[in-house]
Amino acid sequence: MFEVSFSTELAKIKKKEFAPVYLVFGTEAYLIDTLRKTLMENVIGPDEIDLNFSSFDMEEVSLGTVLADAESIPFFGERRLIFMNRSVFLSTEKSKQKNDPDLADFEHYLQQPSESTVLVIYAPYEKLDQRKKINKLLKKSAVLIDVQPLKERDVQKYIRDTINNEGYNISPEAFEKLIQLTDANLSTAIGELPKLFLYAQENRKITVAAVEALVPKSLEQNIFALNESVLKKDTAHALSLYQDLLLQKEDPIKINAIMAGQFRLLIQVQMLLKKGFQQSEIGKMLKVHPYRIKLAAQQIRKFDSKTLLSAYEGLIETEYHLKTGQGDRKMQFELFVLSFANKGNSKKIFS
Amino acid sequence: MKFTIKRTAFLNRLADVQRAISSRTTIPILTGIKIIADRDGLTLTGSDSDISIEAFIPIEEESNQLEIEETGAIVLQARFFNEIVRKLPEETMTVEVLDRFQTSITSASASFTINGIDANNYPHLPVIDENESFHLPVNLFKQVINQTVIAASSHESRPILTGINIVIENEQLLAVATDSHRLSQRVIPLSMTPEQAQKTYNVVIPAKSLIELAKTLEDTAETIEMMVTENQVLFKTENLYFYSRLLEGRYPDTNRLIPDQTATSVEFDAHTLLGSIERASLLSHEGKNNVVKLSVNPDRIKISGNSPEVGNVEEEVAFKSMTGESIDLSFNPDYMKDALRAFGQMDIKVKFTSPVRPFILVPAAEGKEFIQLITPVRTF
Repeated sequence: MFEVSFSTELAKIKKKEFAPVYLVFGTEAYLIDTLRKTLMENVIGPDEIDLNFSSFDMEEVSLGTVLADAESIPFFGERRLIFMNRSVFLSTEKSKQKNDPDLADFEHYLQQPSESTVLVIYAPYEKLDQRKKINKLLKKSAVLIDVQPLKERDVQKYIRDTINNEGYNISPEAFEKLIQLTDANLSTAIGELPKLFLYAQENRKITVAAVEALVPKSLEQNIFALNESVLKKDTAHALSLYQDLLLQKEDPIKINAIMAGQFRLLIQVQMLLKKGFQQSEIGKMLKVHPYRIKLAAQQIRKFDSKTLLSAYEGLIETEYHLKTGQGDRKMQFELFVLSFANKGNSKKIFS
Repeated sequence: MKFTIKRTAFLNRLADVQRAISSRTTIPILTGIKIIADRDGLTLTGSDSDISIEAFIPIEEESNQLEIEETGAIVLQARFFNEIVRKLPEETMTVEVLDRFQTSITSASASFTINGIDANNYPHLPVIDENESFHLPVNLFKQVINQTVIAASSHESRPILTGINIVIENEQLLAVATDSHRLSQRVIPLSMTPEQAQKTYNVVIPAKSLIELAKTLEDTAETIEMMVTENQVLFKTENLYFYSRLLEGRYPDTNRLIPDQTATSVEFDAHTLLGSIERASLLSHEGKNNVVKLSVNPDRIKISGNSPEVGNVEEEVAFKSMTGESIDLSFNPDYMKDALRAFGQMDIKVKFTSPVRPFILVPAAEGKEFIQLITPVRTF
């Protein structure tokens, strides 16, 4: 499994066992960052960074420039370390640079890479173009390090292990809250841990209160809570949340657009679940993080499709009023909340 | 403001300050040239915020034929102004600022009116303490610049290597540049006061700045004054101030890069070797990788270049002497050509330690005052 290959490769690098070429494939920022740091610390010494380390943006630089560096013997020390960032020529995405004339030379290099160079090719894309000869060649000649976003349970395991390895405990409720507030995003969650560690330094226990106090809610999460209040027809809470967002200088059009997007997602998930699709399949079809699909699936259990559609249509109408400048911008949303609350009753789950 | 001046005298100074002006700037006023007229003469200023050049045209120098009728200041669009002055019909010209910063430029029957900008909006040049200054011989300093800038990096990914590291200590100036594939180092002696000799200065000046400085320095000037602050350096001649920002960060310690042992040493005439390498690189430039190969044996030294698409070249190179083991290695001919040109007509020694370690070029008359270092390229 990929996780093993990532940590195995990391361990090898720390033991100074380097491959001449690495292909780092995927978009998980935290893993990419960890790998970068590990390579920088182990392949070259701190006093060699200026002389034996190069970092190229492959959307701007030709392969010839990289090759000139790769084939050059290290100026000082054992190795040159070269990062090829945004290697778009490997992916299915369109590139600014048309066919690179040095591609054949690069393919030649991959067959006989320099022993004194560690070449790291970063491909932060969801897919590589498997029809390209270069990718077939890389499969054979490079060490592939998969840094695709982890599945939710793997993210949870990684975060839990990180917390435990630092000598801290976290209550199940606090852990659930942390995952929820960070959208089960590894980079975001790991980024929040130093604050929590500092806060819980004395008793080494991370509580729900600490998580709620220190981990900020994203705009999407605030709007998720706002959606919930609208659907529950809890107008007082909905309007209070809306006022908070306005105080945070959020634009009414932006709030409305994100809300409409979330309602659209709820409707899509509801329809696809009815058709018998699994949550993981829905995530891929809609190109949405699996955790968001999971939350949407939990939310739609409480409401029928009629209620969801009614809210969605109300938001579309509000958007029209906002964009055509009809009436007070801030009041348009409040009018929507009130008129929606007065339409029929939702399922009596919350009464 | 109103003045009349000999056009060629004005153009010479205009060309100097024009070097600092870039059309690609985020501060629109810096695309202009600032002109100040006072009782002593004219001051022209150009800047791109990295480099600033201030040139003075004194009224007392009769050859300038400068007459100032009215003092004042204006900023004029450099590109248009320069073109206009160059194309004026007569040997003298008059510049006058009219209402709302409109400026007229007249010469004989030709008259232009262009829009100017309030000079008060032009950024102030840095203030530099002139007590702490060194005097450098102009010819020697120009030579130092030309011999070192060749090795500076042009890649902004490693900003510190786009500069020249200048270290002043022990009554000498050391200049080093490297792009991590080659290195150039030059040392010159300085005459210093006992107080100055106590101090050490270690700065990194953008290579681009020094290239422009070398172009502005007139061979007639004997010395140039250098003053350093935390983030600026000022070079000063009689009628020219040249400011440059300094690069932030510590320059890598390059002393350890220069090998102190030699396995093979060959003495060449630099000019002859340059000719051979230029011929070998005619084909290597066409090839997959721009590399030439050097084979050193006690009885013959051979240089070869190869391009599968075009053909190959082989030449026996004349050399003066050789000591040590035979060696074969490859290198980028462009780096070697730059290094050899910097030596000019002199005899040089090329010293090798191994095919996979950098080799050095030094003047044959032993000395550490000028060293070029080149990294070999591995060949398949």
